[in-house]
Amino acid sequence: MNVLNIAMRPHYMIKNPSLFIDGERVYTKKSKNGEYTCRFETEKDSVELSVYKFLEINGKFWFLYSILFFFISLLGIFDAHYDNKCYCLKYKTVLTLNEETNVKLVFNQFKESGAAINCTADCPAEETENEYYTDKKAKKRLKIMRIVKLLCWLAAIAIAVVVILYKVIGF
Amino acid sequence: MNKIKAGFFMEQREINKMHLVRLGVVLNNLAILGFAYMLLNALMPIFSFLYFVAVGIVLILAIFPWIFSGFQLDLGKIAEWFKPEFTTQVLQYLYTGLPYVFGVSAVCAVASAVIMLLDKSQRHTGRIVIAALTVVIGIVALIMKAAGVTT
Repeated sequence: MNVLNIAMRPHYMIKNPSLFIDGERVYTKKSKNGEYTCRFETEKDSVELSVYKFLEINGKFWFLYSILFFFISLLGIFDAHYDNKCYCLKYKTVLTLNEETNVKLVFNQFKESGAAINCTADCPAEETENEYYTDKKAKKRLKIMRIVKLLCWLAAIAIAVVVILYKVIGF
Repeated sequence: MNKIKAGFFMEQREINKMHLVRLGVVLNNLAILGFAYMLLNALMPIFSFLYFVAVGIVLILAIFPWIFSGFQLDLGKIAEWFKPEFTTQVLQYLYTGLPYVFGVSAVCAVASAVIMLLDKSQRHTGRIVIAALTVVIGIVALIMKAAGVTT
């Protein structure tokens, strides 16, 4: 049985990155020193470790979901903010495991097309992908949603004014 | 081709989880609104007490200069400035909506707490605590109403 200990130090701009080992989602726990750690046990001699940052706006039916949450949260007043920067990353490495392997993933400062993660491992590691990028599709979608939300707000204000005029003045 | 497909499903699954967490956050924020309302209800006796203290202070501040200046004191006129009807009306308005607000915000709080507990990618301790507090404060406010403390 090989054990893989992972310690991850994400950048504050990249919130909640997803960690996968051989395509299986692995969840980390925040330790006292601010690192996200996890322990993974496997019978395999090598595993593929990948880290991604997914954006909510890139999902299927993104428009429907955004509008639905906008109305549920009373015109977005009680909604959580979307990630406006749209910074993404893809990182993939193949690790040849020892009996107990320690891997440390430190996230770099965001730089377009720059290296996303600095990996230190006490085993041979072969990086296949390591890149930061801005998701332009997500940015475009966010822009569309901003316009739609603004129009909804204008419509709501217009309705409120008409109702007030009707009630107060009897117009 | 298979790899791309697997990647897409992986991403979609993660995004679905994000949607669920967003729903939890929205419900929690709505529960916080109810929490503030029910806290106001529960604190109503204190507010009433503070109101009378404020009236007392104003009366004292008003009486002393009048006494020293030798003018005849018209307490009735001063009391007219602090008509309790207005405050009572506002508090009554707050008070009557309590069972409905409690129902809605308790459902929101419980649903959000369950969603937050299911999310393994992040810890939401603060939000879960607020959800629990919302239910507790709501029950306290309802008990106070039933006991006639807040009438």
